[in-house]
Amino acid sequence: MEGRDKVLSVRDLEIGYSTGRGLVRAVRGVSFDLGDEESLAFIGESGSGKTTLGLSLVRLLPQNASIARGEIVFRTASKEALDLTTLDDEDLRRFRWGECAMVFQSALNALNPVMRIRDHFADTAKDHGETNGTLKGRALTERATECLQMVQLDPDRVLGSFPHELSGGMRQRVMIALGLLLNPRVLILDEPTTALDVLTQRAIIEVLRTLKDEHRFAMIFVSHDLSLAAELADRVATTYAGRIVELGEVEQIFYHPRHPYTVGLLDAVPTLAGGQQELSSIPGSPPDLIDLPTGCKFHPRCPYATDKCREEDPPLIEVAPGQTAACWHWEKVGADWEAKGGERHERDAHQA
Amino acid sequence: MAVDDVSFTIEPGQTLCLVGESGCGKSTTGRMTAGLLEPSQGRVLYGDKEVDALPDEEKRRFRRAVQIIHQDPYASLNPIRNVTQILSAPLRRHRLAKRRSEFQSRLHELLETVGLTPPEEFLKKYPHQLSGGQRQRVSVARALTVNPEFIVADEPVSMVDVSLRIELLNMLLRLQKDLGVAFLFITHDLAVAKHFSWGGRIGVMYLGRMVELGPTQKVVREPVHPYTRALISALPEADPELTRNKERLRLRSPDIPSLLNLPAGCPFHPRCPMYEEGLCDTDRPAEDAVALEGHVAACYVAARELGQEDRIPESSRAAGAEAVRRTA
Amino acid sequence: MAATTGERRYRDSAVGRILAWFASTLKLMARNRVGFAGFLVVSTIVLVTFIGPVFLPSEVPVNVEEIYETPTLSHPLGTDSEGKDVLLQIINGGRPILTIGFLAAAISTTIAVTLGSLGGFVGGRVDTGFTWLADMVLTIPQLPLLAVLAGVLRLNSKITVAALIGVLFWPTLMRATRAQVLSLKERDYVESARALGLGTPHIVFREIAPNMAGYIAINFTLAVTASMYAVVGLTLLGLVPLSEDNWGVMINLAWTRGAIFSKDSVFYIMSPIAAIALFQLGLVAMNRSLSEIFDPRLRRGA
Repeated sequence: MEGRDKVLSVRDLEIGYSTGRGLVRAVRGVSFDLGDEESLAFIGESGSGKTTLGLSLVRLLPQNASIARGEIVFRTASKEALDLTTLDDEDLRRFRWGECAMVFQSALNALNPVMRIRDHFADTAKDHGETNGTLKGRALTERATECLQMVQLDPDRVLGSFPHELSGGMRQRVMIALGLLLNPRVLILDEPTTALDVLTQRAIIEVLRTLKDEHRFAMIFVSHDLSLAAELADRVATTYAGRIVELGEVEQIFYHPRHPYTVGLLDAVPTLAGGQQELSSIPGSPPDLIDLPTGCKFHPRCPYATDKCREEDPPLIEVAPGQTAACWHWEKVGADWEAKGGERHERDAHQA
Repeated sequence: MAVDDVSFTIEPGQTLCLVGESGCGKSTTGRMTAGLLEPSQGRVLYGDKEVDALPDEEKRRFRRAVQIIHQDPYASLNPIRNVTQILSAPLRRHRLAKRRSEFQSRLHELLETVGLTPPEEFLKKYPHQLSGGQRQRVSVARALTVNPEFIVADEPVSMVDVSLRIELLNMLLRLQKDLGVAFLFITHDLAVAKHFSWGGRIGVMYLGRMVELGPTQKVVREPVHPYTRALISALPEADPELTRNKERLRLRSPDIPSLLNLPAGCPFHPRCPMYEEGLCDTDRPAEDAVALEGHVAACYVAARELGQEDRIPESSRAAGAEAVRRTA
Repeated sequence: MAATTGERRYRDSAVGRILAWFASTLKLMARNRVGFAGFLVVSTIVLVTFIGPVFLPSEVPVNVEEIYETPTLSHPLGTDSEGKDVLLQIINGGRPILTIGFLAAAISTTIAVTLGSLGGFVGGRVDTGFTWLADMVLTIPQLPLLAVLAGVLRLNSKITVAALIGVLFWPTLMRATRAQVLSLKERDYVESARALGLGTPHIVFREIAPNMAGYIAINFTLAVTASMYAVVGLTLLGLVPLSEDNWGVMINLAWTRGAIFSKDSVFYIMSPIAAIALFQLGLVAMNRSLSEIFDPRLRRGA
């Protein structure tokens, strides 16, 4: 990360939803930076706030959500700093897709069922194009073709099709191509491989890897799937109850985790390689975002919890160069992990 | 033909995992096994008698012996009934409890078996007041009310949070150990299948057919069928070094043929990296084209490589030889 | 929250439970303001028209001196062509219409739900048969049929009229119910019920039907409004013997006696119309609360 330019800086972001039952604090103080060629993965389960976070970066939050505090600063190619929380509608429209695009899950209802794919491209260009010459006509077709080729789809076959004529994997790739249309500097992908078959997932991961290696833009992945982060991320942030609980380089997170939730996740995922594994679940269940516990939000499920954890919510503490974890007992967590985790990694690698 | 010519046996207390991608027919197979769907052809045998031909009394016994658990925790329970009502209905129907006290103790026992403790807390709850994982447990409890011998579990953990899956799987494994329940575990996730069925078997399905069937440890470590090998190589692992350096099997084509328009010969041949003209597109390989000890696979190329050419039908062998001659 | 044994026994007794159900229903009705308003309107009209006549003279006095009077204190809604007080007639005249309306709706809803559920769930020839029957009844023009039957039968009892209307009005709800059942039949919990061997009657009536309860309730109230219109229409056309004063008769008489031609008599013709319209409006508004009541997710305050 050193020496890289930052394309996105988020500080103390807080987002809440007002619902009939009360205020849902979906994001409770998130801060991070994104380098301009970096891939950052947000890994979390239901109620972690990761999807809300992703949506907020393109200001596509639903009506009942509001950014309570914090700033999202985007640095354009011309080094201008845009505070996304204060952009007006017009600037926001140009920002979206032009600077930062979001790729949604490939569900059938992500694309308009009565529009052909080429019309989807036209629509996107029209809605978010520059005021001085929207991408259209021949230029649009050329660019759309280019984008479809980047995701390994055959433009001749796809441009004239309707969404239901394409398979799930093809639709996901169309969504990615749509995201690339206006050459954004940041691509945000929400669960890009969920609900896809294994072989299709593999194809999508390879597409994303090619994009990452050849085209060098920044990506943010939001997912519950740890293996996606293992495949593509440079840095990983594990999220729980609306906050980042651990942030670091991908090797640090997977091989030297320091937060009990990260450890819990790693212990809970079965791997195909290796022999029979000692796996365990995290006891309890995710917290109610309206009625959060005191202190550290993970303490009810944490084997390391002490009174201090019940009273004080830990901030992100630096546990290694470039790695932070929000846990009072990170040293003990680390020691326990290195004792058993190191062993496991070696054993699995041998039997791979 | 959602499912075509699939055969397998499950012994008491055993586990068989059906693995495959969407549309491979594993769910349909599961439902037919549970007697909830009529097979167009073929038979489902309970003990050694055909289910359809069972006399009423035995049919009732079959009905209770085979239960099903569904994938979607939000659709598997009737939203207008609370846990007590859901669990009492089968007890009452089959007269498995008479007095109120019997009901109470049985309900407590069931809830404790599936890990919903303290039971009192859950008895009056409605499904929408429970989390996804808790609903799945109620689903399992419901299946257990009739003391089944065999449970068909259709993707029971796919829609549950990752950190909670292992607990559910371990609970099911305990049922197998303590109550001797056999399982047909359907999943698309090979890693989950490996974990759940470590001492059991895995059957890999593709486009309605069983392409490989054998002990889990063999299938995962020494897969025979190219499709199995493609699945294993394609699976991303939660270990950066491992997964980024893993060798990937490249498929010949990304297109999946439709079930209505299957190609001749082996259904996987258009995508198969080991495809050989003539050999693979003439006859459809039998389920046991390769027959190792307790481990079968439907692939002629593999049969040849493992020294089992005599199991390849003459027509395919000839077509293969012809193709080789032409290109030579 | 520990109650004494005495309290608990009371609470768990039948009476206690009914009262508790009432209380929670009222609370639920109150959640939706429009629904609650509708509920109040409906309850008031029902109470007034059913209980009111007990305290009032059944024969409204004729007073030739006060023909077509505009509203005054002694006649809040004016008088009719015979000097009879309109308000009294309104109070007296509601019961027959409402009774027939509810009865006919009950009959048509029962037929529709039974045929729709059984047909939808069992399928096959049973389903085809029921659907065919529904189509037949639908294609018959209802008003001419009613007119013919009115001539043939003697529509002198409320039950006959209600039955007549009920037997003609069920096809639409039957199809809607059948569609719902077809969809609910595919739910996972229904498949589990089959796997558990719970039996067709249990599945249809205790797993599927209760999930439609809200839908059925709402359609029931709509059936009441339709039946009321049918009765009033029949009365207006003179197909039903005018043997008693009811709102329909009032409109008929107002019409035939030229009440629409005089400015003073507008209350005579508008009152029954307003009464009917108000009741309908109340029912429809109440539907909003009904859909909340039948959903246990909202009932339990989760």
